[in-house]
Amino acid sequence: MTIEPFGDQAVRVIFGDQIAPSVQLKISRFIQLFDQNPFSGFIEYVPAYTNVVFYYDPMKVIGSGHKNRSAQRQVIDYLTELSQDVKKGSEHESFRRVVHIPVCYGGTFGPDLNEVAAAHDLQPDEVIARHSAPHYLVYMLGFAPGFPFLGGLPEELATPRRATPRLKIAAGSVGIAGKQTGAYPLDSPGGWQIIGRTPVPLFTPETNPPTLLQAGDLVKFDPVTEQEFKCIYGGCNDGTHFA
Amino acid sequence: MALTLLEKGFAASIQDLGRFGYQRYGIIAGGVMDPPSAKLANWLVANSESMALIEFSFKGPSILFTEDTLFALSGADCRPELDGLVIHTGKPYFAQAGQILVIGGLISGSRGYLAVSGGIDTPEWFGSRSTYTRAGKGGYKGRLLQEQDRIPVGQPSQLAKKLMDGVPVKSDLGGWFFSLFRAYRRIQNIRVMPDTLWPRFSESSRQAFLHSEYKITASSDRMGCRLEGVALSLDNPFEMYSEAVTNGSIQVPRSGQPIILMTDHQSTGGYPRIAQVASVDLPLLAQLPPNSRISFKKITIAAAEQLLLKQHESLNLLHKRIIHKLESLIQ
Repeated sequence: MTIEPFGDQAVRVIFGDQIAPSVQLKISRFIQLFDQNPFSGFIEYVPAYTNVVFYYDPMKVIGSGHKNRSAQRQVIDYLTELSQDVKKGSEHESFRRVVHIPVCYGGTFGPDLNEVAAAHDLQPDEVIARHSAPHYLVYMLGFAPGFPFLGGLPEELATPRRATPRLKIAAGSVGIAGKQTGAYPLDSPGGWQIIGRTPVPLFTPETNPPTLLQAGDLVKFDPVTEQEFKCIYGGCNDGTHFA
Repeated sequence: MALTLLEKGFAASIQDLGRFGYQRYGIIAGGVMDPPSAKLANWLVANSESMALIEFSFKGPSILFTEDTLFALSGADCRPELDGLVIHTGKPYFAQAGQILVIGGLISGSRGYLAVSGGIDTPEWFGSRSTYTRAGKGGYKGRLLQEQDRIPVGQPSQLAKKLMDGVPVKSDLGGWFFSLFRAYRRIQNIRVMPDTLWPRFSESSRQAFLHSEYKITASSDRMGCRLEGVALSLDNPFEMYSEAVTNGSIQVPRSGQPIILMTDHQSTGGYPRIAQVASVDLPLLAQLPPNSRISFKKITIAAAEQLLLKQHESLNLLHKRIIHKLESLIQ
C-alpha cells in the first residue's frame, strides 16, 4: 500500500495496480476499519478500482491535531498507521452482499444485443446466457448517481463502445463497454452497447444510501421476460428478483 | 416568507456549501462556485455561512420581495437597483414587501450571489440545498430557477430581526461595504501542484504548461473550466482506470486541451491529470469570464496549504468585522 498526495485537501491510498477482487477486498477492509476510526477533519472517501481518495478539511485537521505540522502530513501518517491494523485481518470474502438485478435482454430494451452477438459469432441467446452467468463485483460508483463500474465480464463478450454515442440512453439500460459492464441509473447520453434493461432503480433518491449498489457488492443479472419486466416495473410486489 | 422571480437571469440556482459524503455513490458534491463570496453575502445579512442562497452567472435575476427582507449581493460586480435606486454589492440592504430588485448584467467577474436573511429554505437533500440538475434533486425542484418561481425563505436570525426592527433609515444600512478585493481583468496567475502523473507528460508539454498562457473558453461551466492553448501530450499514451478526482484537477483529454474540474464535476474521471489547482485559487478561477487569460505557477503542497490557511484566517477576520458592524447598528 502506498499513499500519495492529491492536491492540498486529499490523499490517494493505493492498494494495487490491477483490477482484481483481491485488491477490492483490501479496499473494503481498509474502509471498514476506517469507518470505525475516522480522523477529525475527515470529509469523505471515494473508492475506485485500485485506490481510495480521502478528502479532508486542512483547517480542521490542524485545529484538532498538531499546530506545527502540515495537515497532509498528519493525514498520511494517520492512514499509514491504520494500514498496519488492516494487515492483521483475515482474507474472508464471505461478507459480500449479492444483489440480483432482473434484466430484460434484447428487443427495444437491448437494441445492440444482436450487434454484440454478431461481433463475437454468437447467438443472442448465448450472449444472454454468458452475460447473466457471473457474479460481477462492484468496484466503484461514478459518472452518475448509482452508476456501477463492474468487473468480471467474460472475455468473449468484451465489445468496443459504439462509434457514435447515443444522445439518450434510457434509465435502467444495461450495457457493455470494452471489458466493463454496467447499468445507467438515469437517462443520459452514452456510447455503451446496450443489451438489455432493468426495471429496478439503481438511483433511489429517497433512501439512504441513495443507490441500489455500493462498492464491494456482488451483482447477478437475472434474465426476465418483457411480461416480468413490466410486472416488476409496475410493482407486482412478488419479490422474486430481490435477494 | 418567500420571494418571487420576475426575470430568471442566467443559470440562476440555489446553492450552499455543498453536499459531502455521497461522492462514493456517484453523487457530486456541488455547491457554490465561489465560497468566499457566498460566505460574505450570508454574513452581511446575519446568516450562518452555510445557508443557501441564489447563485447566478453573467446576468442576475430580478426579484420581487413579498415580505420585508434583509438582503446582500456579493461576488461579481454589477449595477443593481432596488425599485429604481442604485445600490451596491458587499452591503446589506433592507427591502420592504413589494419592492423589486433588478440585478442586471455582470460587469466584472462571472458569478454573483444574493443572500437573504433566514436563507433560502427549499428542502434539504442529503444535508444540502445545492441544486443537482442531473439528478433533478436539491435546490428548487432540482432545476435552475425560472420566472414566477416562488422561493421559500427561512426565519431571520435574532440579529437580522433586530436590524430590521431597529434601524431608523431602512433601505441602506450604512455607508460601509465589504469586498474580497479581487480584480478579474488582467492575466491571472493560477498556482498549481504537479500531479503524480506529471512526469508522464512530455518535457515540452510540461514547459508549455508552466510558461505559456491558456485562455478560458466559452464552453466552460460549473462542471469544468475548459482551456485553450498549447496542446499537452504524454510521452507514452496510456489508458487509465477511472478513479476519484477533485476540484481543481487539471485533466488532459486526447485533444491535449486541458480541463480544470470545477464544483459540479463528476466524482470520478479517467483522463490523465497534469496538475492540481491550489484550493486557495479556485474561487478566483470560478469568477474568470470566458476569454480570460491565465498562466500557471508551480508551488509545493505545503505552500498551497499555508495559503489556504491564511485565506481562512482573513475570512474569519472579515466575518468578525461584519458582525461588529451589524451589532453597532442596533446599539
